[in-house]
Amino acid sequence: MELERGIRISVLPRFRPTLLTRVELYLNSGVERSGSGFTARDDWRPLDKEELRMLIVSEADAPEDRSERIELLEIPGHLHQQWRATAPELATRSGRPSREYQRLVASLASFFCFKKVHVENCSLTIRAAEFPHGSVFASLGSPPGLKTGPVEESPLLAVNLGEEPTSLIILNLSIRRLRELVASRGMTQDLPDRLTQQFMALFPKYPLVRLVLPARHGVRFFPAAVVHSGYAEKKNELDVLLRITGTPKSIS
Amino acid sequence: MVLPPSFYQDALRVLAECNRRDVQVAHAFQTNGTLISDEWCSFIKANNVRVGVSIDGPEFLHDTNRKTRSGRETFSRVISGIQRLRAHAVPFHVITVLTRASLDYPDELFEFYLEHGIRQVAFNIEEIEGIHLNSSLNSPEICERFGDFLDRFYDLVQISGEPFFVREFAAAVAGIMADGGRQECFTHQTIAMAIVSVDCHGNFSTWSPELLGLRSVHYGNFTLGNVMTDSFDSIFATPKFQHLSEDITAGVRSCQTTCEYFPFCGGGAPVNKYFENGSFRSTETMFCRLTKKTVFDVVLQKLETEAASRQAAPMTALDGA
Repeated sequence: MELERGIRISVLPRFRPTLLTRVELYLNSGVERSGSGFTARDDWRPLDKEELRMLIVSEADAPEDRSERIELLEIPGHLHQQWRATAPELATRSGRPSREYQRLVASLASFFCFKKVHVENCSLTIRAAEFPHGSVFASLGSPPGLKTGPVEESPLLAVNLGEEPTSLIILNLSIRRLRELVASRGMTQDLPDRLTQQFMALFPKYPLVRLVLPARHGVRFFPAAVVHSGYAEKKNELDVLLRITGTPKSIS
Repeated sequence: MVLPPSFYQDALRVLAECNRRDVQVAHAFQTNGTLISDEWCSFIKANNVRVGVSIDGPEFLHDTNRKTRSGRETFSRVISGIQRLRAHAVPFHVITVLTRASLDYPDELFEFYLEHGIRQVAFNIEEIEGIHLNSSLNSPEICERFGDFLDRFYDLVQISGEPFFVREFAAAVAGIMADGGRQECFTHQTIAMAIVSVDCHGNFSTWSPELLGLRSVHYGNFTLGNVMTDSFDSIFATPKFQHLSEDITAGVRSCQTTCEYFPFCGGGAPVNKYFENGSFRSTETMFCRLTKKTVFDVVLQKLETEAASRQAAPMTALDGA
């Protein structure tokens, strides 16, 4: 199957437009079964011009429905440095967050608020993968692997706090389109996660998109609306993501 | 820098020969940075010339507006010029022109400056002047966004701990601290012959430097004389000078009687009054709203907050011992 126009990649407003012109994207040949779910085939290749045009769109032309966008962003170097200074203490400390960590959280919140990405009532966490080569994007929820995320975590703003690139893998078709395609094979449409499994069983060769996120780079998207996973196979260090989710909670 | 350093070397020699009263003369270049060579760097260092480079920030901001006559981008050439200055240890400052687009990117601008060894910055704004009839900053909501930009940039400078000079912040602090606000400041732009601008043909003018190259329906050009034929003193009796002086002075007096920022500002920039409002006799401009009032308000608030937090700081064991 060939890539269709669906979920688009743009830049979050008020973040530098060059994030889009320099974005690193790959395509594969679909999925393969893994336990009770599906995982992305590891045969990634660069996109051709037509495929890029289908995926990348300027902010002005991006879909109005934000659940159909993956929006790129980047945090400044001084915040990354502040994280680096805080990280060692987090690795060893347990219990109440330290003053340095609280300052980091406040600095991040201040930056995002300036960029009009209001995070005052959101949940802000920093999560590391549990094992080398594991991806934080992939490890959330159950089962691991390609799936949609919980509604209460939408939208999700995720930033790579590591030193090495990590990747977000997405299926660039909306839930609505998945239902149409599954229905075209005479199957019933089910809850998003089971719908995802149905789609992948029926269309295992539909290509997935891998979006590389260098250090400090991130994305904002709606996990409940986008089938996604992660990729950190080639990393030497543990995958670490800053996650800001849409559930109104106090910042922690 | 279109003319080679040798031209200016000769010019400096002539100036030195003519300087019979031993007047202290400081030289400064403001350059677009695209022609900075090793030879220029040697000349600059040898003659202690102050250098300003015009660069509007990272490439995506700079190349939006700074293009060659043929429409080509200039960022990489300017950066090469800056790198050359740094390689020769030539001190320099930059002027960044802020537009509406810039205001979303204080973090990106600050990191850009740090990355390229830029530690002295002056923020100009996209002005309405001459043939530039409008500005992306000319809209009601811009003051708040401009203030937010300055507020964040101020914090970034403070947090970094790096020595970093911002002309606007320094001027505001100086104005605020000037005898507790009782001393009135003045601006050279409103005082005749405090600034004398001379072009390459010898034509000269005064008040705002930009006036020299501009024309108006009311005054024609703003040239007051030519150094080849007219002494500076001779212009005071001319009708053109007197007309301009009356109008500019009237504008300053209006500012003095109507604007609470006058002690900090001194009466504005005549060129902006004329080209924004159509008259030197006018008062508030977009230029002063942004570069005077908003800057002043942001810096004052920062200083007050800093003072308040110092007052509220808990006593240490050494205090009051």
